[in-house]
Parts: sequence; C-alpha cells; structure tokens
Amino acid sequence: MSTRFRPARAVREGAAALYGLAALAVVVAPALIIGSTATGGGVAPSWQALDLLAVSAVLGLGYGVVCFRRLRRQSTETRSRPNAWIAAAHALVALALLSSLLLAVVLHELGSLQAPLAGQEWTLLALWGGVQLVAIVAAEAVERGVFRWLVRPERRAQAAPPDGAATVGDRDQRRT
Amino acid sequence: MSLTRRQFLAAAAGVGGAALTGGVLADQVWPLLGREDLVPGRTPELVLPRQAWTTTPDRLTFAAVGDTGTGGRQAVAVATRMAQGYEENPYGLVTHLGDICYYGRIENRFEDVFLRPYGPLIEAGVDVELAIGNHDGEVYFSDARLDEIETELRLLGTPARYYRTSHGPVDFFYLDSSTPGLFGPGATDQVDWLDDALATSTSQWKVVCLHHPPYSSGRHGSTPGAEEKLVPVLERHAVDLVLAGHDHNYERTVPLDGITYVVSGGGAKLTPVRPSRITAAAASVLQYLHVEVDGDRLTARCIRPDGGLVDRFTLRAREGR
Repeated sequence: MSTRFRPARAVREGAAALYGLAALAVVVAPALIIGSTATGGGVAPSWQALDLLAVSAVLGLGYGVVCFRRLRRQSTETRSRPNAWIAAAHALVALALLSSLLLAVVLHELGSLQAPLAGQEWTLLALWGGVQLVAIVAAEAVERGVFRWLVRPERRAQAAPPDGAATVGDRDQRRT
Repeated sequence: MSLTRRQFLAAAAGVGGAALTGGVLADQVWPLLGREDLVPGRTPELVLPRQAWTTTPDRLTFAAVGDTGTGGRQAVAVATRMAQGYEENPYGLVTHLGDICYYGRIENRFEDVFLRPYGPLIEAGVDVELAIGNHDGEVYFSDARLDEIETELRLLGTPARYYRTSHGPVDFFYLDSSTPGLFGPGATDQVDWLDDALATSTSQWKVVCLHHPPYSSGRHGSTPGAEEKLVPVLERHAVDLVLAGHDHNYERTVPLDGITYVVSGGGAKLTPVRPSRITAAAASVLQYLHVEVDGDRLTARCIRPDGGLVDRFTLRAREGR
C-alpha cells in the first residue's frame, strides 16, 4: 500500500466531501428554517421539536454519503471527471429547489388535513420524509440524465470501429 | 482542460439554474417557510379548571391575541401558553383581533384553527369575542366572502359584524375593519355607530378592538385613513386602549393623546417590525397579551410561548372615571 501523499487526490476527495455536505445542508435547510423561526419567535426549544430535523438529517446524510462515494469514484477517471461534476452540480440545484419548494407546496395544500396529521405524529413525519425522498429521487434522476447526455458522444465513439476498419455492414456488402 | 460543446452547454445551464434557484429560494421559498406556520401542531393536552376566573364590577382579566389562523405548531405554541397563562392567572375572555383562519375556508378548518388549539380554554368555558380580520372575509366582498364571515360569526357566537360588550369595569367595542372603505370617505356607518356607542359608555375603561391597526411600524404599517376617520372619534371619547392585529408582531405605542395603541398579531406567524418614533416597545415574536384590570389600574403583559416576558405596561384610568 502506498503511503505517499497525493495532493490532487486529496483535493478531489475534499471536493467530493464538500459536495456531500452541501447535499446534506440543502435537505435539512427547510427543517432548520422552520425550527429557527419558531425558536426565534419565542417557542421553547425541545427534543420533540427536532423530529423534522432528524428525518431530514437521516435522508440528507444518506444521500450525502452516496454522492460523496460516487463523486470520489468518478473523479479518479480523468475522462469522466468534468461530466461527473457538471451532472452533480445540476443535481444539487434540483435538490435544493425541490426539497424546499415541494414541502412548502405540499404543506400548504394539505392545510385542511392538519388535524389528522397532527393527531398521528408518524403520518406527519412520513409525509415530510416522503416529500424529501421525492426531491432526492428527482435530483438523482437529474444527475443520471445529465451525466448520460454528456457521455453519449464518447460512448458512440467507443461503439464505432476505429478509422479504416470495416463495419459489419461493410463486410456484409462486400460479401454480396 | 478544454470542455466539449455539450459540457459547455451543461455547465452554462447549471450556472444559470443555480443563480435562478438561489434567487427563488432566498427571495421566495425560504422566507415563506419562515414566515408561514405550515407544519401541523400537536393538540394541547392541558385540562384547565372550568370558570376559574373572577370578574367583579371593578376587576377583569382577559387575553388578547390576533392572527392565529394557521393551526400550525407556532399557533398551537401560543394557544398552549395562553392555556398555561389561564392556569396561573385565569381569565374568562379572549378578545380575538382577527384572522382566525388562513389557508382555506372556516367551515373546513374550524377544528384545525380554533377548536383544537384552543380546546383547553374552550373546555374551561372561556368566551371568545372576534374583531373580523381581512382573512376572515378578505378585503373585497363577494357573496362567498360574506357567507364566510357569517359562518365565522355563527361558529363563534358573535352577535354582529361590529358590536359592543361589557365585562366588569371594561366596555369593549369591536369593529369590522375589513369593511371596504371603513376608513375611506364613503363608509361612515360603523364610525358613526362607534361614536354613539362610546358616547353612551359609562364604564371606567374603554377598549376598542379591530384588526387593522391605526398605528403600526410593522410590515403592513399604519392603516391608511384611520388617523383621519377613526382616531378623532377615539380621542373625542377618551378611549384608553386600542387593540389590533394584522401585523404579525407585537408593538405598543407611547400614549398618543392619551390612547395606547397595541398590535398583538403574533398569534401564529412572524413578520419583522422596525420601531418608529411612536413606538414604546416592539418585537417580532409569537405572543399574546395578558391583561388585568383592577380598579383604576390596567396592567398588561406581552408573553411569548416559552413564557418569556416581552413587554409590561400599566395604564391609569382617566380622570373622573
């Protein structure tokens, strides 16, 4: 095992870790905003009030780790490095927007269902987590879609035969 | 490192999207999440002693709160503190300063926005009197909005759109400031009614309750026209205290021609307040006002959901009352 310090690799891994933290931050942002507003408004802090933050933190941490590992792996491949980072940036933008916007829309639209939601705490947590999971899935879809679109020309080129080589179709034509 | 055409396009779209998303989040979505109270609140589980208050001809304790109509966690936190305030110093009256229902119609949301948060106080027999707010029927009337207000008045047992009640040494005058043109040149019925009602009031204390504040340093600010149309009537009859909501904060003015104006609109949501030259105390907090009248002294405390004291003030009854 090599113990030599590699600055470029350390920078890449540090950047991947920062991205993972950013993904975590945008997922927990809505819960933090709601919690800090209430606390700033004079609601006493309590463990019970941290339920939404806990759900968001679990989801955000999970997704952050997935992003970190993927970016760290993709960053080692020189050719796909820009594609990986561009796709990741798109995913982060989508995640930031959807994780907050979807919650605001869904909670606003479900205003008439407050009593049943408040009556059974798990339904509120399931709703909160479910909406954020949808945002994560959408961000993941954006990441994969953008990445595939970016690497498509390379893959086409790889699938094509080297210059001068005959294609299967050419060979068939010659045979006839 | 050179970028391919696709990489360049995607990177440019990413930068544009990030800038746009950052703007939308910072300007719209995150402030909305902070400003509104969208997460349902847990039902308070307090059980209060029934009718534990004492009202005599010279003593009254009441609470004043406005803009409570979310049914969310912050609204429930304020309602729970009001119930705890009842435990410590019971009161038999809540003057509600309007906007009892947001995010829908009162028929559908009465349980969410009122019966559930205020259940302990309602079970204890506390009376609620409402000054109609703009979200209780919106500013511009239609048949549907009038129905909405009528439904609300029926559900709360409120006698009329504007009315007068007496409790111990205090006469309360409730206005419907959502009426179009209440402070404008055309509509004077309600102001005329107030003029007459105040003239015939013989109680030691006169308190006027309405939703739109005549004076405010909050987000909505002072209500246009109120200073010209309403304030002269209040001053002519030496009103002691004017309670209002609409701005989602707490503010007390210095006495203006002997009248103290209070905005107590922190019943569920929060908006900023910037103290002005007439402000004696102001804070952007969730709160309610706990008021004790004892003879010629009125003491009010503005209380946060965590029990913290935001403001405390004392008024003395006018000479000759």
